[in-house]
Formats: sequence, structure tokens, C-alpha cells
Amino acid sequence: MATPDKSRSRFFLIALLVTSLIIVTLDLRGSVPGQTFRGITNTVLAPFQSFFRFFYDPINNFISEASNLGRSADKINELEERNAKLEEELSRFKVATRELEQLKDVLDLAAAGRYKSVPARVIAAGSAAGFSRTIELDVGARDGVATDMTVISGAGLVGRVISASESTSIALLLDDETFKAGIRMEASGILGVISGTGNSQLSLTLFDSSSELNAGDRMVARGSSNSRPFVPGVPVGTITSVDQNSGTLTKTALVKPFVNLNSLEVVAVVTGKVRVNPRDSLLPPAPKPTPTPTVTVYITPTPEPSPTKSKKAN
Amino acid sequence: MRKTLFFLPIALVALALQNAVVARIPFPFADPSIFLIVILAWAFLEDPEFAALQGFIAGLLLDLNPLSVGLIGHWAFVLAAVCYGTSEMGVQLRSSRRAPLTLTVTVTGALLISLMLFALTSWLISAEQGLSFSRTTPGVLLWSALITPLLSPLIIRMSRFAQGIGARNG
Repeated sequence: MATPDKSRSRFFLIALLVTSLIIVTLDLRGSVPGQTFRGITNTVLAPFQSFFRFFYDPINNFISEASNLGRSADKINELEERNAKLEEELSRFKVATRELEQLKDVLDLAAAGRYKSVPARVIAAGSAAGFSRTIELDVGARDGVATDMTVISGAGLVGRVISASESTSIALLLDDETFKAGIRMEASGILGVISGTGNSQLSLTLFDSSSELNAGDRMVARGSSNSRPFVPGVPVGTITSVDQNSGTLTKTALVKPFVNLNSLEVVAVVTGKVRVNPRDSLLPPAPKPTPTPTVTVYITPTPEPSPTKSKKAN
Repeated sequence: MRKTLFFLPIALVALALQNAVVARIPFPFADPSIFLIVILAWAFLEDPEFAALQGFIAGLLLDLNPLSVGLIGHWAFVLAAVCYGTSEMGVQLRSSRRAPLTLTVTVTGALLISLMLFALTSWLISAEQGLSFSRTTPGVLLWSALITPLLSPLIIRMSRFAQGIGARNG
């Protein structure tokens, strides 16, 4: 039989579980101002996170250096020879160059699409263990960022802003399970919807099952009214495999996004409306098909078979 | 009550560390969850009643994490239940619960149960979060088994300190 102390703690547990179920129900009904509460948590967490941010670059560099160590003995020797100061300078330089390259790429894309955008740095990320694929950006309402704005990187679509505070904002990445966006296939202009699967690939659904889809076909964002949440023309990804199941009303395929969502550091938020739809112009140049090598062999027949050889053959 | 007040900054620091550093480093397989490791290890060393309350608070914190998009109260439900169970197990084991191996095995097991319970409840309320359970869980567990022994001396020391505060002030 349970002791009074034990039954008290059980009662307490049940009370807590019921409380959380009530909160879930209220949130399901939309009665909880979730974004307000999350904003408060953000304010509380911000000082801790900015403190830890100082450690991110050294730790990240240490891990990337460490993963290279096992690759070759020469590399180890080379690393040992470097002195600490040079190594630190090098890692700083690497971070700066990487960020500069990403910034250049994203600004190039924004300029090509005539998107009015603000560049942003990724300062925190949602965890796979928490089942949310989100990133926190260092731009917020004071930079003109608001909810439902497109987030792009140099390679293409990254996601959309789901909340914005004064100085930071949260963006939902396109591989999150709750993410959905309208797309348009390159050249053919067929419309469809991509949705995140939680995996590295996205799922594409076309509403017209008769339309032709092939691996390697590429797509851009279709764009929403008033350019929110999505501006038109942003490159999204390439089809890797098509579901050949012909009995359904829709046609589905798997899509590999152009953007590597695990190594995002600099992105941009499109803050203005798009006046001219860039259509397919922002897609990278199509990969050229590799030519099939053909080998031509010329054989010159010997003028006369020698009689001795023919005898041997017989 | 003071024990819970002591626990709150630890949970906040663990969550900030998770958001600002751990989740941004591309670990192989999946990100380790420092936050869940700390919470579950803490619960294992705590009395069931406090563990349930602290699990509830930590879960609510995870629900209200600006980077999470799930339903509010979902993690609170899961962590209150799992932390209570973990603590009950700790009480059964009595003194051996401070051994790093016991702590590691229990925390990793509790982590698996938390993720399973989260995915199961997601499926029941047909929320879209938690569908990547089968893909991320093995990695999360592997990292938990590797990281818990490293963190355990620190967590055990802090927990002892908190127990001291609890004993002195009730």
C-alpha cells in the first residue's frame, strides 16, 4: 500500500499532468498568446545566449579542425607546427571569409531578384531533439522585419519569419514538418506545393497528376499575394526522385533544397514587396549533361592471309 | 521551494547553451540535447515531488522556447511524467544513484522514453511535431550516452548543493 507521502506526490503529479493538458487544450483552441510568452522567454534567455555566443565560433572551429585530424598524418604534423596565435588568427579569418562569402551570395541573389532585403546573422537554432527546425536571426522589427517575410540565403529559399521582436526574429526552416510553400516548376510553369518532412529532402505535390516530372527538374517559389510570406522567383530545389504511382489524383516527388540548412550563418530577410516577378532568372545555370564518350576504332585489314597461318588454323 | 528557485537558472543556462551553441554545431546523426540530459539527471537525483514540479517547469520552458513551434504544455506534460518516473527509480536505487554509470544508463533510458512519449502524444493529438522521431532519436541517445558521464560530476555536485539548501531551508 502506498504511504501517505507517496500518495501525496502522486496526487501532485496528476495535478501537474492535468494542468499541462489544460494548457495544451487552451493552446489548441488558440486561447494562449503563445508568441507573447515566447517573446518573454526570449528576453530572459537573450543575455545567456549572447554570453554563450562568444564560445560558438571557437567550439565550432575546434570541432571542424578535430574532424579533419584523422584524415591524414601530414595534416596532423602541419597542425602541430602551427603556433597558437597563427591558428587563432586563421580560424577567425575562416569565419570572416565564410560569412563574407555567404553575405555576398545572398546580396547577389537579392539584387538579381530586385528584392529589398536586410542581411541577418543566425544567432541560435532550434534543436533536432526538440523537433523544431527554426533559427533565430539578429534582425527584428526595428530593421523592418515582421512575421511572414521570406528568408533567403545565397543559394535560395531558407524559410519564413514566424515571429519578430524588437531586435531579433525567429524563422521556420523549409525542412520543418509544419512548413508549406507554393512553387512553380522551371520552364513548364506547373504549380505545386512543397512541404518539409523533417528529413533533408522536401516533399513536392503537384495537383495535376498528368504533368510530366523528372529527376533533375528545378523549381522556384510561386510567390504569395503582397509578397508575403513568399516572394516569387526564389530558387527552392531540385527533384531527386519522382513517385511513379499513377493511381492517385496528385503527383508527388522528393526535392533536395538548394540551401544547405545545417550550415547557415548569414541569410537575408526580404522586407519589401516585389514589383517584377523574376520568373526563372534566379536559378543557377542548368548543369550541362555529361557527354557520353564514344570510341571509334579503325582496323586496317592485313592485305593477304599468309598460307602457313591458314594451314595451322585448319 | 528554494530548491526549485535554484533549479530555474540552471535550466535557463542549459537551454541557452542548447540554443546558442549545441544546436548550431552540425553534429553527426543528430544534435545532443544538453537541456534534456541536465533536466533528467537532475530529476534522477531529486525527490519525486520536486522532480515532477521541476520537470513541469523545464517542459514549460522548452514549450516557451522562442525557437520551438509546438503546442504549449506538450513538453510540460511529457517531462513532468518522465521526471517523476525517473526520480521514483532513483529513490529505489538509493545510494548507488550517484554512480556515473547508473546515471548515464538512466538518463539515456529516460531520454528515450521522453522522446517516445512526445512522439506518441504528438500522434494522438495529430500535431506535426515529432514525426522525425525515428531519424533523430538514435543520434540523440548516442550523444546522451557519451555526454552524460562528462556532465555527471558537475550535475551531482550542483544537486548536492541544492539538496543542502533544501535541507537547511525546507
